[in-house]
Amino acid sequence: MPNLDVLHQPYWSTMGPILILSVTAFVVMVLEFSVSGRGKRWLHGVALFGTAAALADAILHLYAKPQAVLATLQNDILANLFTVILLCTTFLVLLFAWDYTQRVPLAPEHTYLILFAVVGALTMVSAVDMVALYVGLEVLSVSSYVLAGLRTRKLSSVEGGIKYLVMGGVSSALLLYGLSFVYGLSGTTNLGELFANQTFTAGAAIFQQYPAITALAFVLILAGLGIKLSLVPFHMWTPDTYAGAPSPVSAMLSTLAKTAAFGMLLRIVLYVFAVSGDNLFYLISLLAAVTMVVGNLIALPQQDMKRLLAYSSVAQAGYVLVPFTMLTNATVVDWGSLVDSIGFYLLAYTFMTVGAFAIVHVVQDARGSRTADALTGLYQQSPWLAGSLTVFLLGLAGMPLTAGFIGKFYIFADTLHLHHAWLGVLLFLTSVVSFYYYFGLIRKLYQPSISVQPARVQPTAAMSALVGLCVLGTIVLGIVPASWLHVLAALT
Amino acid sequence: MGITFWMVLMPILAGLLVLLIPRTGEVAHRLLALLGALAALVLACVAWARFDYHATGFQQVSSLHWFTLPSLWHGASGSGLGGLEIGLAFGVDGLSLGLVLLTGVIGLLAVLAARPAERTREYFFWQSCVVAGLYGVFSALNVFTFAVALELTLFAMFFLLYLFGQGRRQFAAMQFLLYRGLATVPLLAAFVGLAYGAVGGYAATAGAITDHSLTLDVPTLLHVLPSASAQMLPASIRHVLFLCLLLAVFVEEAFVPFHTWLPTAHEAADPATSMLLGGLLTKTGAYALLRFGVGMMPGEVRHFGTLLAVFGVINILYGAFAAWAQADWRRLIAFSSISHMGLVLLGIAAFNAAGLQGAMFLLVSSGLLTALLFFLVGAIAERTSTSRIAELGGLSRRMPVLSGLLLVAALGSLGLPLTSGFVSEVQAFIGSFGSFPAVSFVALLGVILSAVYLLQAMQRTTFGPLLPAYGRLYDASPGESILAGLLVAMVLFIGIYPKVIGDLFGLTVNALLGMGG
Repeated sequence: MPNLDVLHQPYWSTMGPILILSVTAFVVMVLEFSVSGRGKRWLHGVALFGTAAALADAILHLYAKPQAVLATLQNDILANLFTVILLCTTFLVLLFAWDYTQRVPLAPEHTYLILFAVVGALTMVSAVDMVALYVGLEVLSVSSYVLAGLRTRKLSSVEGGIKYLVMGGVSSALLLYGLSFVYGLSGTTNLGELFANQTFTAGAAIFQQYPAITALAFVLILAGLGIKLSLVPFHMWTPDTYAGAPSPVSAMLSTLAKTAAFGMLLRIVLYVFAVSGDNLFYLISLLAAVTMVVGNLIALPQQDMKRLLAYSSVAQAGYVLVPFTMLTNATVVDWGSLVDSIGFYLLAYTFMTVGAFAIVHVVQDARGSRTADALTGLYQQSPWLAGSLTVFLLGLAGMPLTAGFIGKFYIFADTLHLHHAWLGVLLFLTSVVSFYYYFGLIRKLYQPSISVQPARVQPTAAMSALVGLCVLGTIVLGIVPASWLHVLAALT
Repeated sequence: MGITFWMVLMPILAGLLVLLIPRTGEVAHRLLALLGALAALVLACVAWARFDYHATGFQQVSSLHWFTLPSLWHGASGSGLGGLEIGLAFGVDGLSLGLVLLTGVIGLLAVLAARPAERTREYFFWQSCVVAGLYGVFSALNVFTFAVALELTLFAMFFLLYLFGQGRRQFAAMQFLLYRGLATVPLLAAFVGLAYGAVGGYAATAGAITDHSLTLDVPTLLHVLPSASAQMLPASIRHVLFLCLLLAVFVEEAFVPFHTWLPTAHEAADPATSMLLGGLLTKTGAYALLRFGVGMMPGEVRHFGTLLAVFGVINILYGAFAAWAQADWRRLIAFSSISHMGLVLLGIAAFNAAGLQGAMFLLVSSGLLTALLFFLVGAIAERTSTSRIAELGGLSRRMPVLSGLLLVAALGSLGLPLTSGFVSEVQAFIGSFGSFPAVSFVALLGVILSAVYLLQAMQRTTFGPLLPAYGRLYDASPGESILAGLLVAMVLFIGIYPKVIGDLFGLTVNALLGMGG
């Protein structure tokens, strides 16, 4: 008689999504090399099904009582919030990959690689132990390196993959080095314990006793995650990798990988530095300011749409970084609001970015070019696609009635309240700079094509579903933001 | 949900319905847009008919809870329950009702005047969006609603300029977008800052922090802010917020040195879009200054009064001289409207009954006259294919009606008695002479200049020898005559019987001065 207690353990509420996705990933992997030919078409279906099941599990246990498994994984507010966002992202990325494989040959291994990457990402947002955090990051990164270079026949894909690999290696090294100092100071790798020590016992004193080491650890961790988040000045790899990688992978790197890295940063900032290292947070505001300004400025002259979206994702990461600046000890009562604003913006950003990458890909596939000029006349030919891209770009630019405006306004309201008005004003100022390139693309959409009739753009069923979901998400979050804000408010 | 809510919604609904009709149903597109604008105007008139001249505060309020930004404000006790309630709220007082009615009239006439050569579906969709946005701006009772409505006009107008403009339309549309987009940044900063200030978020002493919930509701802010103590909202913060607002107003109103976008946009826009742009969109900034500046920060308006007055005069004179130098009717009208808006600023700076009332009158008068001028110049340009003054001449022989109407519009614009321009300018000057006599004396030069440049342009356009190319031109069609005639009638009616809007504005003026006193 096997022991069935395992079914009644807290594992399901804590690790449910991770377990489901791991099993799905292995099932897909086995299926991938056991079925052949047309059978492989169903791999995406299986993966999507697994993701949907994991999402359902995450939503069912959204408000479950926080419990820790082995003092390593925990289903607290942060974990649940980011798990939901990550699984939504995964669903969209898999739909995108499905559409992609129907146009461009791509090694079918990408299906389970994406799933493994998500398992890593989920671990990053729910681990409360530095070792587990690092393992999660590596699982995500190693899968992403392979995914970025998956089109082995294309030089740009390989180049982008190698760049990402090298920068990712540096990122991991810096992060690990920083975490090692934290361990040295605190004597524990467990973040929960570390936080409790700082709050209730003399644990904070040691951080204050060695300010230089605390600062070093902070800078190293920030730089390590900064590379993953492609914050300026750690963004150099971004355009090359995004431009070279298969489009679903670019979309994944700019949404899924960034959301996970933001989740991890949030965890480390809150548990390690918010109590005793908050005098260093001006570095985050500096980084956010530089990222918003430089990211938007270098996007201005871009003609290649994928590179443009890459730079735009740099700038957008700067916006999300703004609330992190204010997560200090003095503002504990406002942490809820700050985490909410991060959560809102990340979900909004996911819908808009994945949607934009998807349409850019369809256009590139049909017209053989991904310069901005390839969009010319799209409106006359496929009004729905052009209209959807308009919605995404308006959202990214932060126009009202889309999710982007509410997200930015929320962050902005926080900055004014918590005396960081200059960051909030800079956020909106740089958004106006971004009007130039977002509206520049919109302009092209509605320009009548002058010369020959360009090739017709044909979206597949998966693409239609993906674009539909993204448009729905962008507009619903913009017009009925309460739908997501209520969840956030109930969580935090 | 009251009538003001439906008033804002009607044009949007019409616009969405337009999108559902196939591309070829051009008549249906126009008809739907017309119905939407008409329904909104009717609702505005209903609000007018029901308007209670003895009540204070906002009427016909329709307020809808939209959503809450959670845990943004905790109050003095830090209870952690507060959030920022965001509502969709509309309502009118005297000032908004006047401008809402103006929106109704010009919005309707703009639909009638529109002549898109193709893509009527997109044209009327975006036009309806602009009109709905303008209704929203002038009747918003929640600063978030105001900001959303303003941004709606921003990108809807971008599409109108970009898709249906002429000449340098791409440049003009982008410049319009960036300038007015930038204006929303300080505007939002001022709004959210005021909301935090009203609950003591910037209080110098902890005791002044209140437990009131944070709100963006305009009536509440209007009630709390003017009397907020220095402990609760320090003067330095107030100054910064006011200057933020002022910066936004300057860009929205195209005041020197942020004026370049307006003439370019007018040059590129089609006549109906120009009517909306010149008649209504350039009044949003002045409305914001009256509503949020004078209404919420009267002390700052007094404090910076001289600065406002000086900038007002600079704009009056710069606009007038620049208009004189223009070779194109559209740019001339654009600069002339900048000059008028300078007088609005001067009237507001005076901060007395006559000055404020004059400023409000000028908004309506300049709205009607600018729209009329752009319509007529558009009608002439449709026939002659040019609006350059040097290339026109002797038009009164072939087009007596159009020329006559243009003359009336020009005379109204330069402030001839019996027109709305006269009553507005006289009141504004009476007010400003009371507060800034020397500055106002210089500003009078602007009135003389406006006579010079308008009459000179009139004379070159309508009199003199008829150019041979224009021998076969036809005069105004009945539709055009009726449309322009309506606007002329309103200009004259307000000029002869100013009480019709004076009573409306008087209410708000009294309320504003009562608070500032």
